[in-house]
Amino acid sequence: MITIDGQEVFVIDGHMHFWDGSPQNWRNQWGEAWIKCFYDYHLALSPKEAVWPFEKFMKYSVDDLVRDLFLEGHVDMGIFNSTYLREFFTNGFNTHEQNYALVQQYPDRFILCGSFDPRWGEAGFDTFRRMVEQYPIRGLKLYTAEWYNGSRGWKLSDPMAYRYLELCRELGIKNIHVHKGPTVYPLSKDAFDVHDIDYAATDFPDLNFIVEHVGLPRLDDFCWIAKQEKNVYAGLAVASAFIATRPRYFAEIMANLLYWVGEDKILFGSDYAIWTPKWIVEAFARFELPEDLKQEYGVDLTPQAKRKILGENAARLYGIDIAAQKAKLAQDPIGQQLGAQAA
Amino acid sequence: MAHTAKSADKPCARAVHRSTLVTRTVADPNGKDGPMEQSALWAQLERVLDPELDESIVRLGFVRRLEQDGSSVRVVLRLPTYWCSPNFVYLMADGVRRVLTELPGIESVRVELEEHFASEEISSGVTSGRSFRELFPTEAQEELDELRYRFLVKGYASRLLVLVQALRSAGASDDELVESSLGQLEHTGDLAWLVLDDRRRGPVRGRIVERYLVRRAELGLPMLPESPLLLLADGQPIARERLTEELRRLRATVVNLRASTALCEALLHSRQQWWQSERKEVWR
Repeated sequence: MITIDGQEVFVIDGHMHFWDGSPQNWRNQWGEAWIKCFYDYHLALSPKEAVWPFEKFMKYSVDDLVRDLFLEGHVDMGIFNSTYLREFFTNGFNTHEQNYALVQQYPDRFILCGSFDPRWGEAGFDTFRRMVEQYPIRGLKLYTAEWYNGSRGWKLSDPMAYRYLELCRELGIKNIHVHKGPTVYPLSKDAFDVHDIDYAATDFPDLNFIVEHVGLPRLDDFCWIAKQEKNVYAGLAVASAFIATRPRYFAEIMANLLYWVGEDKILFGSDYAIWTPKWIVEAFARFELPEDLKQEYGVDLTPQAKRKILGENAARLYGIDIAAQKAKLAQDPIGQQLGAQAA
Repeated sequence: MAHTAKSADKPCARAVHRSTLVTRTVADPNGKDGPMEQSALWAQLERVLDPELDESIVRLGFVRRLEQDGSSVRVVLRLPTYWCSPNFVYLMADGVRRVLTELPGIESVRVELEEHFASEEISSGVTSGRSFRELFPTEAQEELDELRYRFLVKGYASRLLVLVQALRSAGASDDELVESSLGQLEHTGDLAWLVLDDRRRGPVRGRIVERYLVRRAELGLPMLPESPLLLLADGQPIARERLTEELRRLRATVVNLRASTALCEALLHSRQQWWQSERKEVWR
């Protein structure tokens, strides 16, 4: 639990994982390279006291996750951004099946995202329907950089992607998280741009598109799109991790997002376990935009804006009544443990 | 090397930094390369930019080794992540080959990538002068000129904004900025001024002006003395009433470049650890 201005804040970590990046799960050299690259991100932006050894980073336990998010990390709920990477990891990296084990254990704590891949073609429609029927799938995480059968990426504007988005409509899935971020592969397909979001957002105005990592390193392109499209949201994962070691950049990113996108359309995310939410949430709660940026952009990161970003915006997207949800969470095993600690 | 990249933020560290970089990272096993030639090679490499960051690959610390053997040069690049997008990597590697073969006496250039998932394809492809589409026929849908242009424009935005900010803090008013022409820039040594009828604004660092002018010329924008001082990338002058809004747009691009650069520097620094520890190759 964290307070801003004396008021308790409901925190939804909009972007978190429970992965298996251990050597036993590496399918080939890509698996090793993948997890090492993640670890570079971890080292690059974590404050010293939050750095993990590589062994733990490759595969952490349920207990680690529960502690890092809920017991110590000020997080009330987390959104599982399932990531498959089956061409790199034998059992997948963090599939919805893997994540479901935790959802079963703590059903009120998590929002489970599934996925689709247009390269499955029509043959994948049934698999997709079954996934939504069998699991409590409430959103999707799309990874346009995923490798599949020799192809190394796809676009949200591909005709087959549209067929799947139509299926989302039919099945009542409204929130689509899309990875648009640093480092990952695809060749000229979309390595440098977020414009496919623009097409999909215009053509599916009833779906919400949460652009994870705010398109970094394509923040500017993302801002132009999000400004125009009502249903495009900014997912702060990766950007939020700048807050400790590069606060000025973080402030500039926030000033831009507040100006172009607005405080109602920004969602907090830690990208756990690349970074642990504790230090990010704490720093965010006390963060002040520097005066020159406030002046220049005419925006401010007010306590109200912080509350929206940390949880209220995500709660609205997922139809969560915060008061009712808090009451429920106080009763689950984690809530009871937190209650006991506080007493 | 990350420590050199970090110091690139500090202007005063630059001159020193460049010469230390040469002596520290040039491998010269035969001892027969004169320092003049080596510095000529490095000077050429300085011109190769990371297209996305609009910064020299030398300043960013991506050049790991530079070896010359007669007319052949071998350059090893180390990038911030294993997953850097191949199109950007190709642009940099091909840039290295191009600038070095421009030097008299250099006939062949081998560019190698340390630990990148497409090391093989890009190294051998660039060395033999093949195009990006030839290297990745099923995935690359266009050649890279468009991509290169897009990032030249972003870099221009950044350079334009830096110039405006420098001149503003040296006392130039917005009216003076939008009404001035290129011919009013006075550039001597490391310093530059904006010359008005009765006074001059400045000084600002010469490099700021230089970077702006170089990129402006690369984009084919008017360079005549009477051309407006400030031009958008599409060649339009900035109207006084549009200035604030245009600067805000430029600003988003610049924030992006800086944040990306900061991230790349930090990642490159983190990557050092894998070379220091023994590599386990478990999957074999």
